[in-house]
Amino acid sequence: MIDFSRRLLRGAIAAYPRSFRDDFAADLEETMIARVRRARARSVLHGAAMTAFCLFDTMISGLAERRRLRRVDSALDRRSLLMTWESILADTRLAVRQSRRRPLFAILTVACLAIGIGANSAIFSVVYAVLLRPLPYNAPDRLMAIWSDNTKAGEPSNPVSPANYEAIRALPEFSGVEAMYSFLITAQVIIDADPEVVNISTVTPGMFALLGRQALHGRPLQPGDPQSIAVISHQYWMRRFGGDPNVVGRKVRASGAAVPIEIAGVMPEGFVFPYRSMLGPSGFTRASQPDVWLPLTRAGEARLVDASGQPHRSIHFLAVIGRLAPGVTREEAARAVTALARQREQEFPDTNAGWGITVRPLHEQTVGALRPALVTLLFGVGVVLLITCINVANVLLSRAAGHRRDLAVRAALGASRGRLAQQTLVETTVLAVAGGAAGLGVMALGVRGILAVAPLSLPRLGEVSPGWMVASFALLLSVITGIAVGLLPAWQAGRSRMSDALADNPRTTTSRNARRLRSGLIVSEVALAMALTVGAGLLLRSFVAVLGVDEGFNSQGLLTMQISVPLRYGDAPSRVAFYDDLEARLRAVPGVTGVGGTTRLPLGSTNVSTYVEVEGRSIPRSEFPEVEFRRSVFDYFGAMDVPLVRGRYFTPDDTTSTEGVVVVNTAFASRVFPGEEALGRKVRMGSGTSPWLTIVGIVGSIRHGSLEETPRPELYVSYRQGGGPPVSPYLVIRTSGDAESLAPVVRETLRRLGVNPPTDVRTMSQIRSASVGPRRFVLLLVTLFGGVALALAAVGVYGVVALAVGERTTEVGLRLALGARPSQILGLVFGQAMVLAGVGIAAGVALAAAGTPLVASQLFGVTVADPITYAGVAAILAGVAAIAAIVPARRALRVDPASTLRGTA
Amino acid sequence: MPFRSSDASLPLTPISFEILLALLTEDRHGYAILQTVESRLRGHLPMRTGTMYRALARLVDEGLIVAAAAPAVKRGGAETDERRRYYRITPQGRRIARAEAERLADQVAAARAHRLLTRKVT
Repeated sequence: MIDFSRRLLRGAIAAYPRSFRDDFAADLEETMIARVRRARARSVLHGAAMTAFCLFDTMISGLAERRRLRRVDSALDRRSLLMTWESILADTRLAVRQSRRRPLFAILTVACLAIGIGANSAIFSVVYAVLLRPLPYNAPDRLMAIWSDNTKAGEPSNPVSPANYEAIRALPEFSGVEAMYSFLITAQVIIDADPEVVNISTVTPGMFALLGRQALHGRPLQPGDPQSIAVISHQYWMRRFGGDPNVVGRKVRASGAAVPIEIAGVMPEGFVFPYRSMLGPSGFTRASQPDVWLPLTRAGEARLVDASGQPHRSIHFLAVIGRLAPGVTREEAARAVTALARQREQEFPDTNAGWGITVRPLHEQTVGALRPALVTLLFGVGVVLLITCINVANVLLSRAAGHRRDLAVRAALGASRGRLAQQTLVETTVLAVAGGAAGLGVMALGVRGILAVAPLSLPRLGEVSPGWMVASFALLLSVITGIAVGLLPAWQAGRSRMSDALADNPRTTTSRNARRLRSGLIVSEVALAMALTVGAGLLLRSFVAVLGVDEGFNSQGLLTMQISVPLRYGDAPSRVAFYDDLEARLRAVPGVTGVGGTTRLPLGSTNVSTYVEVEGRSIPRSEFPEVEFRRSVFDYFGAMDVPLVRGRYFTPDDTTSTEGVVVVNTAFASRVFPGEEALGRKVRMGSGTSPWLTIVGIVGSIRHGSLEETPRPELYVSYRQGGGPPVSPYLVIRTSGDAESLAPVVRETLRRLGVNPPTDVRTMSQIRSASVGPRRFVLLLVTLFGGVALALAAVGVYGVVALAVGERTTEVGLRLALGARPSQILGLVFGQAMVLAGVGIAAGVALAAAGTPLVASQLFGVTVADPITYAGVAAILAGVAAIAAIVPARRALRVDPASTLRGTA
Repeated sequence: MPFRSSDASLPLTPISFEILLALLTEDRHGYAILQTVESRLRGHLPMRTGTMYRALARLVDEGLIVAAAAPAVKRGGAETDERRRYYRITPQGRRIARAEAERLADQVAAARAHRLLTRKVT
């Protein structure tokens, strides 16, 4: 029985905490057994009772002791927490002191963080606003841009005809479908006898409800609104009405409007619709944002319906936006519109054959063209962030190595590992906070700088603001890296093998692992910088190539502008007279060597396209080639200096009473008449009733859309034929001198003629430069990235070499004492650094080769593996690394051998 | 004047005081302490072993008693057991015990002054 009791009691003693058991368990057991024995001596029952009593006691006492221990522990914890708070302050002061003593490392870390975080966040802010942020409408991811798609001609985003629009509207897959003109129109608004040209977007009245935005004052357009109701934009409201809330209900007169227009509402600030990229390829102006919205209705609007009151089927001019019905996916909607298109093809083969309908998310429609470029930039953001973290890690590792002795002493004096870790943590945080604060400043400046140089055509540019969140994220990442890296040496310091660190003459032989890690970090840094800079180099070469493209005309010394023919010249003959007068006066301006005009300015406006029927060919209507249509005003080709390939230009003898003629470009000739002679052939546009026109001249093809696009087939009609001169032509005026200086005289000439002030007055050089604006912008940003990466890599190399020099002072002193020449020492240190850089460059080449296919879509005139770029960047990087290494390496020469040997270096 | 050491030790719990009393004359092992205390208290209630050992642990923590080896010599008939752990009161412990006794005597004197106690209690 005793044994049984002993076993029971021994088991129960486990209730006591370990520390208690270590001391008293054996004794306790013996005492209790002695008691049980004595009780047993009286009787079995007594023995059993005593056993039970002791069991009961043990369990209760054991748990009580455990509870007591817990309370004591927490009291102790609270005490150590208090200690830690004061110790944090002490550590902060220590960190600041150490930084002041050895400012180099602190400056390096803060600079790395400031540049890396600041520049990065600035660029990301732009990318976010332009590419990522959702559109300012209600549930914008459900909004789709719906286009007609002419599969044969490869036009995926063609405006929609009114008839198709009404058919799409009826689809159940959309909870709402609205449309607008796929272009902005202008009108002259007279407020207080002050005329001003405004840009107008004409939308179906339900558009605002579809977008889900309310007006700031008054109300947005609603179904049932007559044509005399308008809604104005916030910008226009502030500019023209000074922000007066009583503008609602005011009536203004506008050109082209029979009755005064009543302002029904003002849209809030930040509401932008439509974005320029939501409009179709044809447009009458280049304005980017409307000032006014007018309603587009069936009734009273000649454009929507034809003579019989049916919506037009063959004229396409609507940009359509639809909202997906709840639960409907984009794929389902795409299937529905495709089915609808097929059905209409069957129903109306003459107008709808070959036309499909496509659905594209509105956000993609707005910014999609920029996506490749901006994805590249985001990639750059990631790489630079990575380099920043690597650099911070490297600098801290170097610093920690220098502090090894410090840490060892502290550890020897009894500082626990936790304490040392805390010291490192505090130090890293202090640096990170300083770097982060500097970085935020850099970011704010950076955003402003980027906005200043960004091309105006970049969508949503007005919505860019500094991304504090992104800066904080970058800062957090750097801090985490710093902490992770900084804790390593603190941990190591707590272990043994500190004797060398404490030795009187510390050779500070950094452990091989630490050195390998640092070398590895430098190599990765250089590799990343190399890859990024190669990307920048490729884009730079592409940019230069684009700039070197021959646009097909002479863009120097050309002044351009757009004018509106005064309304009083209502019919064609009076307009011709006006034009003749205008031409004479313009030619009379001193310095003018050529006067011309067109309806579509190359590199500076959109397109109108049309289908041509060729005489003598019987092909179905749906297979007519689509070409671009222009009017030639005055001596357009002469003023633009477009070469004549065959035939003739237009002459003043081509009038409405003579044969209808057209001039085409070489692209037209090869597209429509491959292998044949185009001169003399007859073509016609539009329906089958318009007259045949003879091709009398073939001119050189010019670049119209952009310098990068191959020229499209173009067909020109003289302004003297074809229904009269255009009402809003672009004028091109060639001068022998400076084109810009001509502007005031031309304006005055126009004013005297009673023409309203011209819009879009620019020289062709400016237009050409602006046409490469987006590319230039991306190039600028990527170059900025490359620069930052190079700077950080340089800082990294500098830091590593500086540390290496500091570590090896003894070795250097020895060598010098033993007769080594300074140049040999220099070669040693410098050489080792360059080896690292070399490996990094080689790795960078591999990295670039793997990554650059991502930017392939943005290159022009260079291949992804362009050797000149690679070689050039490698040379630059090697140069940068060399400079960064030579400066601290030279310091090695200043080592005094005597003092290093004595150990007092 | 009794030497007042750290306040943490005073006042002693009753059982702690009893243990110190038990150790005043000689070192004892745990069971012996138990027996001594129990006999002095005339076994009104069986003392819980756990409670006593926890008090022992506190006394050791505060340095009032120490663990000692078994004495080589038998004293006054009590068994000596080499395997057992013996406890010894320290000079500090004696000082605390004295201080506590004085404190208690002081309290008893005050009680007597108020006629709470008569000499009859044994």
